[in-house]
Amino acid sequence: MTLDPWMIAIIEPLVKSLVVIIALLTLFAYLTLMERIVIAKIQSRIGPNRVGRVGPLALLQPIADAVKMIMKEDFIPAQADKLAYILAPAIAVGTALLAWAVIPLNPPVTIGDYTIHFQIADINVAVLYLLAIGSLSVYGIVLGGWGSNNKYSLLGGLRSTAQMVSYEISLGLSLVGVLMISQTLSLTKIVEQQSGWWFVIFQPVAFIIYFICMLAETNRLPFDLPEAETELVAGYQTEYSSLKFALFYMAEYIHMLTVSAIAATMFLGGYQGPFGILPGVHWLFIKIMFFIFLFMWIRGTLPRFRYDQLMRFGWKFLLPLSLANVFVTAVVLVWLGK
Amino acid sequence: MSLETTLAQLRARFPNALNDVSEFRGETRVTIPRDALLDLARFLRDECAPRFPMLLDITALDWLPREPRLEVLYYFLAIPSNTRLRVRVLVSSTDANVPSLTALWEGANFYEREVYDLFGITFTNHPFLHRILLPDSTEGHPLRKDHPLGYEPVEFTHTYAEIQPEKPNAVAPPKPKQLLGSVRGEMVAIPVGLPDPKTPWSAEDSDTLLINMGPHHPSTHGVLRVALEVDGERIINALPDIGYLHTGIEKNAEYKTYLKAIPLFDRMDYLGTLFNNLAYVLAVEKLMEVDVPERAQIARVILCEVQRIQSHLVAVGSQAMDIGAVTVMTYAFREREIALDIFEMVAGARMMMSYFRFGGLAQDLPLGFSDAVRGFIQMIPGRLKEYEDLLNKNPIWLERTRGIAEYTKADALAYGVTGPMLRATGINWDLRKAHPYSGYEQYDFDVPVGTRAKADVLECYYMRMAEMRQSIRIIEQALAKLEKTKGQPYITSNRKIAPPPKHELQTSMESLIHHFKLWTEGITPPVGYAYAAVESPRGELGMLVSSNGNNMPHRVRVRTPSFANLQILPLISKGYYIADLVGIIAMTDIILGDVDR
Repeated sequence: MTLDPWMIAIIEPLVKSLVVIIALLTLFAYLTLMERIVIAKIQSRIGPNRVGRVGPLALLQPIADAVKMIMKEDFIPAQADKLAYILAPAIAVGTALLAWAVIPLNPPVTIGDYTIHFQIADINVAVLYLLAIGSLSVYGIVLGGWGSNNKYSLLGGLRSTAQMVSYEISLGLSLVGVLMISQTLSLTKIVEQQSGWWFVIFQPVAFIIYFICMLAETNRLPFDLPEAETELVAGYQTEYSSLKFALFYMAEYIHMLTVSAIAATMFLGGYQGPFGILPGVHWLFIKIMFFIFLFMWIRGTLPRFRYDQLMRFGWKFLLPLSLANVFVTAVVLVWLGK
Repeated sequence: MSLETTLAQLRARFPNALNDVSEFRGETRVTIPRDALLDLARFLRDECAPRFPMLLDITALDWLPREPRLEVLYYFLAIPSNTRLRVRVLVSSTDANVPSLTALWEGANFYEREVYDLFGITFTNHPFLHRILLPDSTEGHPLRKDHPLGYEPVEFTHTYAEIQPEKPNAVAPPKPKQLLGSVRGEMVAIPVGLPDPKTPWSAEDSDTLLINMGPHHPSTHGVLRVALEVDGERIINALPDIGYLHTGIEKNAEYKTYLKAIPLFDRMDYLGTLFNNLAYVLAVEKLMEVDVPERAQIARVILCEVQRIQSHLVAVGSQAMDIGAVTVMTYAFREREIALDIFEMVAGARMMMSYFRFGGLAQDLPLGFSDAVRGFIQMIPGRLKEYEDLLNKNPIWLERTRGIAEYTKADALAYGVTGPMLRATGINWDLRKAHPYSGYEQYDFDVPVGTRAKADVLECYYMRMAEMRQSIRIIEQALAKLEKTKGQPYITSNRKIAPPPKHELQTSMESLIHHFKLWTEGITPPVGYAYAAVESPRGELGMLVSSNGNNMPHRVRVRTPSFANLQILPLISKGYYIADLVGIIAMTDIILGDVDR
């Protein structure tokens, strides 16, 4: 039996999306475990060790956490703006997941006469799409902070708006450096161009800027102001409970995965690995996990910025630096005659 | 000597005001009429030589049925000569008011509110004379001797029987009618209830935001409520509102024998429990003129210094956590465990030791104590280095602490701030040097003092780190001395104060009588009061024990360092950000048990 091309065009993205979403959600669950273990080791604590202990790892811990979250009372504060309050976690998770539509996971595989692209949509403006989706994710936090009708939540939401808007610019500009070299907005092409040298070698400054911005974009230490638990209780999450609370966590971790995947794709060659050993998706996974570990390591080491210091750092240091990087890249490219 | 010159100056300046100058147990007390109080206080602060820049304490005593029954006690301190002068004003219960000293010392504010709250003495011209420790719905003033004892209304209960009306004095739990708040930088009392949109404290009419920071907030270090007025993220006013942990320890102590009151004081500063014990024990010892054997003194020094390290570890760790460096906190708590193990070994308890007794210790130090302490002090320097590696050169940490919450020497003195916070401003003031107790004069150690003109969060952090290192030096010397006192008595042989050893009871009738008297009646100090102070990790912790010749204290007044140190919060947090406030609260290193008692 052969399927019509139009049916394939519908079924294939559906199957791919399903696989990606399930993989991401599983990964999210185990990232929480990984974070708890890594942080525990850094902080010289024991860490999770009570639930489903397999060897040194408590592998059933995420399942226990999920069950606990589901069983909690789903509470909506009386004074809350219900629509915003309910919509916020959905937006947060949705935008975090959407970015994965354009990330190439593996080189195309040909079975018979049919070529499978391991990418949900290979659009030619993929980088632009990523930036657009990344900007949308702030709505989840802002609406959560506003809808909760709590002063701490509001402050958390406002902090995150300012933070994300400021760092979005440097983040975009750091990617511009790569785009100037690659001359394309398609992520597939960008990855293919890195089969030789990774772009991090040509754009080290952009890579560092991107790395700092990605900490800020995901609200992780030292930039975790929106949910600074010692100042704002839990920031925009203060009034959330049960699955809605879990969704915010999910959004945070998937966002971490997303920005790590973008970093791996733009700077570290995506699924390209040395020597041709291991299928491409493994290399992508290893690179993502490298970034995730850095996230956790930094969380275990650094204190938190203050709001105004963060803004000053973003506008007065990162932005000029990224502009200079774009300028220098342009000059060098013209000089080389490209 | 210098006190004599002070008194001579006072006599010359106020010939008619000094009604009575008396000395008891080395403490001088001057009685003056209340009209002379303001002038005398101003003279002490500004003109007298030596100057008395610090008002350490204001408290009151109730001598029912004598009339005038209330005495208000002011305790002035001259730095660095350590001249202490107690000024007494007698007032009758029908006309209980004295002029307020808040115009001279900002730090008088909380103390006067406390005396008003607990004794019902009004302070004229006080800017905000509201109850401070008790809710505003309380009736009566509990530290007055005629305040009815009886059934306490139960605020939170599931048992109907507990709120039955036939119980004596059972009343429905009163609800507070107003709360401390801030509007446009002014301290106001805000009615409790849903806000009326037209009032200035609702957001409608004001461009500032009033936030209840606490009492349930992760980083107010307990149940502190800060009425926080912010403009955006910038603090306009941060007013500490206390009393959520008030347990009436001073009142309770009046209804226990002297010995049984010791465990109460453990519960105040729960990170410096032995300091609470020590201050109380020293005060009673001073009152009864007891000598403490050397071994007990050395043991007290060692245990207190271990506890100082333990307390500073928590202070530094929680400060780092409040600024976001959680790892330092878990490291500090890891080290603290070892200190708690030592306490457990000595007293059986890990926090509330109640280990000190009048004239010595509860029991001799256990075997292996020296080794455990030696292991602890050998471990600590390396671990301190670890924290410093994480923090001292970290630009984020420096930016979050340097220049935050700056205050000067004058501010610190005006607010009665003591301890590391005072030393951070550059004032070399440590009771262990200035007024040695328990043989501190025999140890060689330095007092870390701030080197910059203004103290800030960073400087206080440096002070605590340096103090831990000095404590290690003291412990090392004390351990060497402890070895030499092996087998010597650990408690005084005065049988009127310390019970005889068990084996004597079977052979000596006299010992049996002493034992019986001590365990039934307890000790009975002579009439009068004595003040003893120790340098706790937070500052001067002083206890005024007043005896009326009974076997229970007439009054125990505790001058806690956190209470004074917290008062400076509005001054030092103004103009900074919400994120700084948690670091500033951590810098003051308040223990709410110590503040509220």
